[in-house]
Amino acid sequence: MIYLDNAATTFKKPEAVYRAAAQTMRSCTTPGRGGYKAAIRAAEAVYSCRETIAKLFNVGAPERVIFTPGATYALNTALRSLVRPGERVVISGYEHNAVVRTLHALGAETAVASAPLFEPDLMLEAFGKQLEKGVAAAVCTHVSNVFGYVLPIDDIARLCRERDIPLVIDAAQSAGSFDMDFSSLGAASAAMPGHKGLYGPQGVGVLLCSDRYRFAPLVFGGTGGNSMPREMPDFLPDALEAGTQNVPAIAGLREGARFVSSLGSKRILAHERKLAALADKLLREIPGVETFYPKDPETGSGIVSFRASSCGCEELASAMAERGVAVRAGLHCAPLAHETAGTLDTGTVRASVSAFSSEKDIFSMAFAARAALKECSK
Amino acid sequence: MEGKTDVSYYLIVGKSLTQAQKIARTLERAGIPASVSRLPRKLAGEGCGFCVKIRESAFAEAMRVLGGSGMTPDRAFFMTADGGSREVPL
Repeated sequence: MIYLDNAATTFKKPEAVYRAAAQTMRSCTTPGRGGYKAAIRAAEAVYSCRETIAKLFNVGAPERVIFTPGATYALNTALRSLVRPGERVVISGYEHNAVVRTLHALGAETAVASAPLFEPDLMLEAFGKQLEKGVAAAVCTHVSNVFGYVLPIDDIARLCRERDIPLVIDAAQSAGSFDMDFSSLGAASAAMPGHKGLYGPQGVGVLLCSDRYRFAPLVFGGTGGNSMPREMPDFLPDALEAGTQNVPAIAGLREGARFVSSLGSKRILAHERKLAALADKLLREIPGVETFYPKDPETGSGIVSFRASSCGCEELASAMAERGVAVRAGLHCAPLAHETAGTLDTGTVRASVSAFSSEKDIFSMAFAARAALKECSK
Repeated sequence: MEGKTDVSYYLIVGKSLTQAQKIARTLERAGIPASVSRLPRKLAGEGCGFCVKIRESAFAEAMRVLGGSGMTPDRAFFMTADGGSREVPL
Protein backbone atom coordinates (compact mmCIF):
# COMPACT_ATOMS: atom_id res chain seq x y z
CA MET A 1 0.00 0.00 0.00
CA ILE A 2 1.17 3.51 -0.82
CA TYR A 3 -0.02 5.27 2.31
CA LEU A 4 -0.74 8.96 1.93
CA ASP A 5 -3.38 9.49 4.59
CA ASN A 6 -0.98 10.57 7.29
CA ALA A 7 -3.12 13.56 8.20
CA ALA A 8 -5.64 11.02 9.51
CA THR A 9 -3.09 8.78 11.21
CA THR A 10 0.58 8.23 10.56
CA PHE A 11 0.57 4.53 9.72
CA LYS A 12 4.25 3.75 9.83
CA LYS A 13 5.79 4.45 13.23
CA PRO A 14 9.36 4.38 14.46
CA GLU A 15 10.28 0.85 15.60
CA ALA A 16 10.75 2.11 19.15
CA VAL A 17 7.04 3.01 19.27
CA TYR A 18 5.91 -0.54 18.48
CA ARG A 19 8.41 -1.94 20.97
CA ALA A 20 7.43 0.43 23.78
CA ALA A 21 3.69 -0.18 23.38
CA ALA A 22 4.11 -3.97 23.31
CA GLN A 23 6.64 -4.03 26.14
CA THR A 24 4.41 -1.83 28.29
CA MET A 25 1.48 -4.18 27.83
CA ARG A 26 3.64 -7.02 29.08
CA SER A 27 5.34 -5.25 31.97
CA CYS A 28 3.15 -2.40 33.23
CA THR A 29 -0.21 -2.08 34.89
CA THR A 30 -1.68 1.32 35.84
CA PRO A 31 0.03 4.26 37.55
CA GLY A 32 -0.98 5.09 41.08
CA ARG A 33 -2.91 1.90 41.71
CA GLY A 34 -0.29 0.15 43.78
CA GLY A 35 3.21 0.19 45.18
CA TYR A 36 4.25 -2.94 43.28
CA LYS A 37 6.79 -2.87 40.48
CA ALA A 38 4.39 -3.12 37.52
CA ALA A 39 2.45 -0.07 38.75
CA ILE A 40 5.65 1.85 39.43
CA ARG A 41 6.95 1.04 35.94
CA ALA A 42 3.64 2.30 34.53
CA ALA A 43 3.95 5.53 36.50
CA GLU A 44 7.48 5.96 35.20
CA ALA A 45 6.32 5.39 31.60
CA VAL A 46 3.62 8.03 31.93
CA TYR A 47 5.77 10.58 33.72
CA SER A 48 8.65 10.25 31.28
CA CYS A 49 6.21 10.90 28.43
CA ARG A 50 4.93 14.00 30.25
CA GLU A 51 8.50 15.23 30.55
CA THR A 52 9.28 14.52 26.89
CA ILE A 53 6.16 16.35 25.66
CA ALA A 54 6.71 19.25 28.09
CA LYS A 55 10.24 19.69 26.76
CA LEU A 56 9.24 19.33 23.09
CA PHE A 57 6.65 22.11 23.35
CA ASN A 58 8.29 24.14 26.13
CA VAL A 59 5.32 23.76 28.45
CA GLY A 60 7.29 24.60 31.56
CA ALA A 61 5.95 21.92 33.88
CA PRO A 62 5.20 18.26 33.13
CA GLU A 63 2.00 18.35 35.22
CA ARG A 64 0.50 20.72 32.67
CA VAL A 65 0.74 18.00 30.02
CA ILE A 66 -2.60 16.18 30.21
CA PHE A 67 -3.19 12.82 28.57
CA THR A 68 -6.59 12.33 26.97
CA PRO A 69 -8.04 9.65 24.70
CA GLY A 70 -7.42 11.93 21.71
CA ALA A 71 -7.30 15.48 20.35
CA THR A 72 -11.10 15.73 20.13
CA TYR A 73 -11.39 14.93 23.81
CA ALA A 74 -8.66 17.46 24.57
CA LEU A 75 -10.45 20.18 22.59
CA ASN A 76 -13.73 19.37 24.33
CA THR A 77 -12.02 19.69 27.70
CA ALA A 78 -10.48 23.04 26.83
CA LEU A 79 -13.63 24.53 25.30
CA ARG A 80 -15.93 23.30 28.04
CA SER A 81 -13.55 24.80 30.59
CA LEU A 82 -13.29 28.23 28.98
CA VAL A 83 -16.69 28.82 27.35
CA ARG A 84 -20.17 29.12 28.89
CA PRO A 85 -23.44 28.86 26.95
CA GLY A 86 -24.22 32.06 25.07
CA GLU A 87 -20.67 33.39 25.22
CA ARG A 88 -18.98 34.62 22.07
CA VAL A 89 -16.08 32.64 20.63
CA VAL A 90 -14.00 33.60 17.61
CA ILE A 91 -12.84 30.73 15.43
CA SER A 92 -10.95 30.56 12.15
CA GLY A 93 -12.80 29.58 9.00
CA TYR A 94 -10.73 26.40 8.83
CA GLU A 95 -11.83 24.65 12.01
CA HIS A 96 -12.55 20.95 12.31
CA ASN A 97 -15.85 19.62 13.63
CA ALA A 98 -14.05 18.83 16.89
CA VAL A 99 -14.24 22.58 17.47
CA VAL A 100 -17.38 23.55 15.53
CA ARG A 101 -19.65 20.86 16.93
CA THR A 102 -18.35 21.27 20.46
CA LEU A 103 -19.09 25.00 20.45
CA HIS A 104 -22.51 24.34 18.91
CA ALA A 105 -23.31 21.81 21.62
CA LEU A 106 -22.16 24.31 24.24
CA GLY A 107 -24.57 26.89 22.89
CA ALA A 108 -21.76 29.34 22.23
CA GLU A 109 -22.16 32.22 19.83
CA THR A 110 -19.57 31.53 17.15
CA ALA A 111 -17.97 34.31 15.09
CA VAL A 112 -15.93 33.07 12.16
CA ALA A 113 -12.72 34.86 11.19
CA SER A 114 -12.87 34.10 7.51
CA ALA A 115 -10.25 34.73 4.84
CA PRO A 116 -9.24 33.01 1.59
CA LEU A 117 -6.91 30.05 1.53
CA PHE A 118 -3.19 30.70 1.94
CA GLU A 119 -3.68 34.36 2.82
CA PRO A 120 -2.29 34.62 6.36
CA ASP A 121 -2.30 38.42 6.41
CA LEU A 122 -6.02 38.48 5.63
CA MET A 123 -6.66 35.83 8.26
CA LEU A 124 -4.83 37.90 10.85
CA GLU A 125 -6.87 40.94 9.83
CA ALA A 126 -10.09 38.91 10.17
CA PHE A 127 -9.12 37.81 13.67
CA GLY A 128 -8.17 41.37 14.53
CA LYS A 129 -11.68 42.58 13.63
CA GLN A 130 -13.44 39.84 15.59
CA LEU A 131 -11.34 39.79 18.75
CA GLU A 132 -13.20 42.53 20.54
CA LYS A 133 -14.15 43.08 24.17
CA GLY A 134 -16.49 40.45 25.54
CA VAL A 135 -15.08 37.55 23.53
CA ALA A 136 -14.77 34.56 25.85
CA ALA A 137 -12.17 32.68 23.81
CA ALA A 138 -10.57 32.27 20.42
CA VAL A 139 -9.91 28.96 18.71
CA CYS A 140 -7.52 28.50 15.84
CA THR A 141 -6.19 25.49 14.06
CA HIS A 142 -2.47 25.77 13.47
CA VAL A 143 -2.66 23.84 10.18
CA SER A 144 -5.84 23.11 8.23
CA ASN A 145 -6.48 19.37 8.12
CA VAL A 146 -8.00 19.74 4.65
CA PHE A 147 -5.59 22.04 2.85
CA GLY A 148 -2.42 21.98 4.92
CA TYR A 149 -2.71 25.74 5.17
CA VAL A 150 -0.52 27.13 7.96
CA LEU A 151 -2.44 29.80 9.83
CA PRO A 152 -0.47 32.70 11.36
CA ILE A 153 -0.70 31.27 14.86
CA ASP A 154 2.14 33.36 16.34
CA ASP A 155 0.43 36.61 15.34
CA ILE A 156 -3.03 35.42 16.34
CA ALA A 157 -1.61 34.39 19.73
CA ARG A 158 -0.04 37.85 20.07
CA LEU A 159 -3.41 39.51 19.37
CA CYS A 160 -5.06 37.31 21.97
CA ARG A 161 -2.38 38.14 24.53
CA GLU A 162 -2.73 41.86 23.88
CA ARG A 163 -6.51 41.64 24.31
CA ASP A 164 -6.39 39.14 27.18
CA ILE A 165 -8.51 36.58 25.35
CA PRO A 166 -7.75 32.92 26.01
CA LEU A 167 -6.60 31.12 22.89
CA VAL A 168 -7.15 27.43 22.24
CA ILE A 169 -4.85 26.01 19.57
CA ASP A 170 -5.87 22.97 17.60
CA ALA A 171 -2.46 21.50 16.86
CA ALA A 172 -3.83 18.26 15.42
CA GLN A 173 -1.99 18.66 12.12
CA SER A 174 1.01 20.65 13.28
CA ALA A 175 2.27 18.87 16.39
CA GLY A 176 5.52 17.17 15.47
CA SER A 177 5.97 18.87 12.10
CA PHE A 178 6.14 22.41 13.45
CA ASP A 179 8.10 23.89 16.30
CA MET A 180 5.68 25.19 18.88
CA ASP A 181 6.79 27.10 21.96
CA PHE A 182 3.69 26.87 24.13
CA SER A 183 5.01 29.14 26.88
CA SER A 184 5.98 31.92 24.47
CA LEU A 185 2.67 31.74 22.62
CA GLY A 186 0.85 32.37 25.89
CA ALA A 187 -2.14 30.34 24.73
CA ALA A 188 -4.62 28.95 27.24
CA SER A 189 -4.26 25.48 25.81
CA ALA A 190 -3.18 23.42 22.84
CA ALA A 191 -4.73 20.11 21.83
CA MET A 192 -3.05 17.42 19.79
CA PRO A 193 -3.42 13.75 18.94
CA GLY A 194 -0.70 11.26 19.74
CA HIS A 195 -1.15 9.26 16.57
CA LYS A 196 -0.40 11.80 13.84
CA GLY A 197 2.77 13.88 13.68
CA LEU A 198 3.94 12.64 17.06
CA TYR A 199 3.98 9.07 15.72
CA GLY A 200 2.36 7.44 18.74
CA PRO A 201 -0.43 4.85 18.70
CA GLN A 202 -4.11 5.72 18.49
CA GLY A 203 -5.91 6.15 21.79
CA VAL A 204 -3.90 8.94 23.32
CA GLY A 205 -4.05 12.70 22.88
CA VAL A 206 -2.53 15.61 24.71
CA LEU A 207 -3.85 18.83 26.16
CA LEU A 208 -1.24 21.42 27.09
CA CYS A 209 -2.62 23.72 29.78
CA SER A 210 -1.53 27.20 30.78
CA ASP A 211 -1.35 27.91 34.51
CA ARG A 212 -3.35 31.11 33.93
CA TYR A 213 -6.66 29.32 33.43
CA ARG A 214 -8.71 26.77 35.30
CA PHE A 215 -9.66 23.60 33.49
CA ALA A 216 -12.63 21.44 34.37
CA PRO A 217 -12.92 17.69 33.87
CA LEU A 218 -15.18 16.15 31.24
CA VAL A 219 -15.45 12.94 33.21
CA PHE A 220 -15.16 12.19 36.89
CA GLY A 221 -13.73 9.27 38.80
CA GLY A 222 -10.70 7.78 40.46
CA THR A 223 -7.28 9.32 40.11
CA GLY A 224 -5.30 6.93 42.30
CA GLY A 225 -4.82 9.51 45.04
CA ASN A 226 -6.74 11.84 47.36
CA SER A 227 -9.63 9.45 47.34
CA MET A 228 -11.67 10.78 50.25
CA PRO A 229 -13.22 13.98 48.83
CA ARG A 230 -16.28 13.63 46.61
CA GLU A 231 -14.89 16.37 44.40
CA MET A 232 -12.23 15.82 41.77
CA PRO A 233 -8.79 17.17 42.72
CA ASP A 234 -8.36 20.78 41.63
CA PHE A 235 -4.75 20.40 40.54
CA LEU A 236 -3.24 19.15 37.30
CA PRO A 237 -2.92 16.60 35.91
CA ASP A 238 -5.24 14.72 38.27
CA ALA A 239 -8.14 17.14 37.76
CA LEU A 240 -8.40 16.08 34.11
CA GLU A 241 -7.26 12.47 34.19
CA ALA A 242 -9.95 10.36 35.87
CA GLY A 243 -9.94 6.64 35.23
CA THR A 244 -7.40 4.21 33.87
CA GLN A 245 -4.92 5.65 31.43
CA ASN A 246 -3.87 4.11 28.14
CA VAL A 247 -0.37 3.36 29.33
CA PRO A 248 0.81 1.36 26.28
CA ALA A 249 -0.25 4.21 23.99
CA ILE A 250 1.40 6.79 26.25
CA ALA A 251 4.64 4.77 26.28
CA GLY A 252 4.47 4.58 22.48
CA LEU A 253 3.80 8.30 22.28
CA ARG A 254 6.90 8.98 24.37
CA GLU A 255 9.01 7.14 21.81
CA GLY A 256 7.26 8.93 18.96
CA ALA A 257 7.94 12.29 20.56
CA ARG A 258 11.56 11.30 21.14
CA PHE A 259 11.78 10.40 17.44
CA VAL A 260 10.46 13.86 16.54
CA SER A 261 12.90 15.49 18.96
CA SER A 262 15.86 13.59 17.58
CA LEU A 263 15.00 14.29 13.95
CA GLY A 264 13.82 17.83 14.59
CA SER A 265 10.49 19.31 13.49
CA LYS A 266 12.22 21.61 11.01
CA ARG A 267 13.78 18.69 9.18
CA ILE A 268 10.51 16.76 9.17
CA LEU A 269 8.61 19.76 7.83
CA ALA A 270 11.19 20.41 5.10
CA HIS A 271 10.86 16.80 3.96
CA GLU A 272 7.07 16.94 4.02
CA ARG A 273 6.94 20.25 2.16
CA LYS A 274 9.27 18.95 -0.52
CA LEU A 275 7.02 15.94 -1.11
CA ALA A 276 3.86 18.04 -1.06
CA ALA A 277 5.34 20.40 -3.66
CA LEU A 278 6.16 17.42 -5.84
CA ALA A 279 2.63 16.07 -5.43
CA ASP A 280 1.20 19.44 -6.39
CA LYS A 281 3.38 19.62 -9.50
CA LEU A 282 2.57 16.09 -10.67
CA LEU A 283 -1.16 16.39 -9.99
CA ARG A 284 -1.41 19.73 -11.79
CA GLU A 285 0.03 18.09 -14.90
CA ILE A 286 -3.03 15.85 -15.10
CA PRO A 287 -5.71 17.41 -17.31
CA GLY A 288 -8.81 18.47 -15.36
CA VAL A 289 -7.14 18.32 -11.93
CA GLU A 290 -7.21 21.33 -9.65
CA THR A 291 -4.87 21.38 -6.68
CA PHE A 292 -5.01 23.56 -3.59
CA TYR A 293 -1.45 24.44 -2.79
CA PRO A 294 0.14 27.75 -1.83
CA LYS A 295 2.47 29.88 -3.94
CA ASP A 296 4.42 30.61 -0.79
CA PRO A 297 5.58 27.23 0.56
CA GLU A 298 5.78 28.71 4.06
CA THR A 299 1.98 28.73 4.21
CA GLY A 300 1.75 25.05 3.28
CA SER A 301 2.67 21.78 4.94
CA GLY A 302 2.61 18.11 4.03
CA ILE A 303 -0.96 18.07 2.76
CA VAL A 304 -2.22 18.57 -0.79
CA SER A 305 -5.93 18.65 -1.53
CA PHE A 306 -7.15 18.26 -5.08
CA ARG A 307 -10.26 17.61 -7.13
CA ALA A 308 -11.04 16.66 -10.70
CA SER A 309 -13.63 18.16 -13.00
CA SER A 310 -14.53 14.78 -14.49
CA CYS A 311 -14.78 12.63 -11.39
CA GLY A 312 -16.23 12.93 -7.90
CA CYS A 313 -13.71 12.94 -5.08
CA GLU A 314 -15.04 9.75 -3.46
CA GLU A 315 -15.01 7.92 -6.80
CA LEU A 316 -11.50 9.14 -7.52
CA ALA A 317 -10.18 8.10 -4.10
CA SER A 318 -11.87 4.69 -4.43
CA ALA A 319 -10.32 4.15 -7.85
CA MET A 320 -6.93 5.14 -6.41
CA ALA A 321 -7.45 2.72 -3.51
CA GLU A 322 -8.02 -0.07 -6.05
CA ARG A 323 -4.56 0.80 -7.35
CA GLY A 324 -3.07 0.49 -3.90
CA VAL A 325 -2.96 4.16 -2.96
CA ALA A 326 -4.53 5.29 0.33
CA VAL A 327 -5.81 8.88 0.29
CA ARG A 328 -8.82 10.46 1.92
CA ALA A 329 -11.80 11.98 0.15
CA GLY A 330 -14.81 14.05 1.14
CA LEU A 331 -15.17 16.86 3.62
CA HIS A 332 -12.57 15.55 6.10
CA CYS A 333 -14.86 16.37 9.07
CA ALA A 334 -14.26 20.04 8.32
CA PRO A 335 -17.21 21.42 6.33
CA LEU A 336 -16.42 24.91 7.57
CA ALA A 337 -12.98 24.75 5.93
CA HIS A 338 -14.54 23.65 2.66
CA GLU A 339 -17.14 26.39 2.91
CA THR A 340 -14.40 28.98 3.44
CA ALA A 341 -12.32 27.66 0.56
CA GLY A 342 -15.28 27.23 -1.78
CA THR A 343 -15.07 23.45 -2.08
CA LEU A 344 -18.10 22.48 -0.02
CA ASP A 345 -20.10 21.24 -3.03
CA THR A 346 -17.40 18.90 -4.32
CA GLY A 347 -15.17 18.07 -1.38
CA THR A 348 -11.57 17.19 -2.19
CA VAL A 349 -9.17 14.29 -2.29
CA ARG A 350 -6.39 14.75 0.24
CA ALA A 351 -2.90 13.33 0.02
CA SER A 352 -0.81 13.75 3.14
CA VAL A 353 2.73 12.67 3.87
CA SER A 354 4.84 11.88 6.91
CA ALA A 355 8.52 11.64 7.77
CA PHE A 356 8.43 8.12 6.33
CA SER A 357 6.94 9.06 2.95
CA SER A 358 9.15 9.06 -0.13
CA GLU A 359 9.28 10.61 -3.58
CA LYS A 360 8.44 7.18 -4.96
CA ASP A 361 5.18 7.27 -2.99
CA ILE A 362 4.31 10.59 -4.60
CA PHE A 363 5.07 9.38 -8.13
CA SER A 364 2.96 6.27 -7.49
CA MET A 365 0.11 8.40 -6.16
CA ALA A 366 0.16 10.70 -9.18
CA PHE A 367 0.35 7.74 -11.54
CA ALA A 368 -2.64 6.14 -9.80
CA ALA A 369 -4.60 9.40 -9.93
CA ARG A 370 -3.95 9.72 -13.65
CA ALA A 371 -5.01 6.12 -14.32
CA ALA A 372 -8.03 6.39 -12.04
CA LEU A 373 -9.19 9.53 -13.80
CA LYS A 374 -8.92 7.88 -17.19
CA GLU A 375 -11.17 5.11 -15.94
CA CYS A 376 -13.50 7.48 -14.15
CA SER A 377 -13.92 9.67 -17.24
CA LYS A 378 -14.97 6.76 -19.49
CA MET B 1 7.47 0.73 53.84
CA GLU B 2 5.51 0.64 57.10
CA GLY B 3 6.83 -1.23 60.10
CA LYS B 4 10.31 -1.62 61.45
CA THR B 5 13.36 -0.97 59.33
CA ASP B 6 17.04 -0.81 60.00
CA VAL B 7 17.30 2.93 59.57
CA SER B 8 15.32 6.13 59.88
CA TYR B 9 14.28 8.04 56.78
CA TYR B 10 12.07 10.85 55.57
CA LEU B 11 8.94 10.77 53.46
CA ILE B 12 8.21 13.86 51.40
CA VAL B 13 4.57 13.95 50.39
CA GLY B 14 3.40 15.17 46.98
CA LYS B 15 -0.19 16.24 46.42
CA SER B 16 -0.36 13.81 43.51
CA LEU B 17 1.58 10.94 41.99
CA THR B 18 2.86 13.33 39.32
CA GLN B 19 4.10 15.81 41.88
CA ALA B 20 5.81 13.04 43.84
CA GLN B 21 7.50 11.95 40.63
CA LYS B 22 8.55 15.51 39.90
CA ILE B 23 10.03 15.81 43.40
CA ALA B 24 11.89 12.52 42.99
CA ARG B 25 13.24 13.53 39.57
CA THR B 26 14.41 16.89 40.90
CA LEU B 27 16.20 15.27 43.82
CA GLU B 28 17.79 12.56 41.69
CA ARG B 29 19.10 15.17 39.27
CA ALA B 30 20.68 16.89 42.27
CA GLY B 31 22.34 13.62 43.24
CA ILE B 32 19.97 12.72 46.08
CA PRO B 33 18.66 9.15 45.83
CA ALA B 34 14.84 9.23 45.98
CA SER B 35 12.11 6.73 45.30
CA VAL B 36 8.38 7.21 44.82
CA SER B 37 5.98 5.03 46.76
CA ARG B 38 2.49 5.07 48.14
CA LEU B 39 2.01 6.89 51.39
CA PRO B 40 1.35 4.67 54.45
CA ARG B 41 -2.39 4.62 55.12
CA LYS B 42 -2.08 6.13 58.58
CA LEU B 43 -0.40 9.20 57.11
CA ALA B 44 -2.73 9.65 54.15
CA GLY B 45 -5.32 12.06 55.46
CA GLU B 46 -7.30 12.51 52.23
CA GLY B 47 -7.22 8.89 51.16
CA CYS B 48 -4.47 7.37 49.10
CA GLY B 49 -1.36 9.45 48.58
CA PHE B 50 2.13 9.37 47.19
CA CYS B 51 5.48 10.20 48.70
CA VAL B 52 9.18 10.25 48.06
CA LYS B 53 11.48 8.32 50.36
CA ILE B 54 14.91 9.75 51.08
CA ARG B 55 17.57 8.89 53.58
CA GLU B 56 17.63 10.80 56.86
CA SER B 57 20.92 12.59 56.18
CA ALA B 58 19.68 13.98 52.84
CA PHE B 59 16.59 15.78 54.16
CA ALA B 60 18.04 19.25 54.68
CA GLU B 61 19.75 19.22 51.29
CA ALA B 62 16.57 17.88 49.67
CA MET B 63 14.52 20.76 51.08
CA ARG B 64 17.12 23.22 49.83
CA VAL B 65 17.05 21.69 46.32
CA LEU B 66 13.25 21.67 46.20
CA GLY B 67 13.06 25.24 47.45
CA GLY B 68 15.54 26.29 44.80
CA SER B 69 13.37 24.66 42.16
CA GLY B 70 10.26 26.45 43.38
CA MET B 71 8.65 23.25 44.58
CA THR B 72 6.65 23.04 47.76
CA PRO B 73 5.90 19.55 49.04
CA ASP B 74 2.54 19.03 50.74
CA ARG B 75 3.94 17.54 53.92
CA ALA B 76 6.96 15.63 55.22
CA PHE B 77 7.36 12.91 57.84
CA PHE B 78 10.30 11.58 59.77
CA MET B 79 10.01 7.82 59.95
CA THR B 80 11.85 6.14 62.78
CA ALA B 81 13.49 2.76 62.63
CA ASP B 82 10.96 1.33 65.08
CA GLY B 83 8.03 2.16 62.77
CA GLY B 84 7.03 5.46 64.34
CA SER B 85 6.37 8.64 62.42
CA ARG B 86 6.45 12.34 63.14
CA GLU B 87 5.32 15.16 60.87
CA VAL B 88 8.01 17.68 60.13
CA PRO B 89 7.04 21.34 59.81
CA LEU B 90 7.92 22.72 56.39
